[in-house]
Amino acid sequence: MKNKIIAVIIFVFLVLPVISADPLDVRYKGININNQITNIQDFPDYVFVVYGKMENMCPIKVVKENGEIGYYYKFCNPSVYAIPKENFNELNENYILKMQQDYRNFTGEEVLVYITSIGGKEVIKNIQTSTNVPEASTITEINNSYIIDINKVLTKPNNTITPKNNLIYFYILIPLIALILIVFIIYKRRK
Amino acid sequence: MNSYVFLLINFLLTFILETIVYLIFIRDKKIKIILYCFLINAFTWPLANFFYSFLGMFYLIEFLVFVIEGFLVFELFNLSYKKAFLISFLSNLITAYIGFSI
Repeated sequence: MKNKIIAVIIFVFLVLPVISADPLDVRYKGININNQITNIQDFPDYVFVVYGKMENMCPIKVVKENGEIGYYYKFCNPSVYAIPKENFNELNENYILKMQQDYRNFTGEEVLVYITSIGGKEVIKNIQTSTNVPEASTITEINNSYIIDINKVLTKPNNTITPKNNLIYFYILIPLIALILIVFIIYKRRK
Repeated sequence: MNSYVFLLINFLLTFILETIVYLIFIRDKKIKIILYCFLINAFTWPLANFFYSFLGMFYLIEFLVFVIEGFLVFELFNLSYKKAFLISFLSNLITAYIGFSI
């Protein structure tokens, strides 16, 4: 008996690392976080731009008309800025497009100073566009919606919906069937 | 890798490794050992993964799995508590170790 225990422990600590040496944490998977401003139509006098403060990784973008904020590199955590349309002339629009295309040549500070100079106000900060969940998670994506107010800075979404896949049935049904069979076996034996 | 395939491989790996430990320590019909090991894992593995995916708390969940499996091994194989929990401890030590490593 003792020899068997020692053999199993040796197996655990010497043999298993060889077959499981991958340092990647594959117990997690990446999922998208979709962010949408639901009341963007209430602000026809503003253009909304989104920008992450991480240089060389997070280009400035204009928020789509339907309020979709779009996706960014996971460490960008961008903010949304509201810019009065009156300040958003063709010249500014072209400059923002240039900053978007040549984003590696603009420092974060330069972009932020420019946004402020044309009247940009932060309305949402610290937006996440992706996250990691355990591989076994039933969550397939996260849908965040924001109801903005030009005079406030939102730090959290107003509503979050997390659609789930059908693994939930597997997690409930299989253990239930197994438990019924185990109880049946134990019951039959005791009878 | 697709999540479903990953989970299936994960389950099969857990089942195979625990079966090996059961076969080493339990003297009984092989088919019975394999079937009971499958039932025990079919009960604990999905629940452990489900709760882990929501709560994290790896150690607490592994401890609960160890206790539940120990009790089920004791009941299904008519072993002493000491031996049943030793088997449960060793089989979960292996699977927890793999869970950490891969």
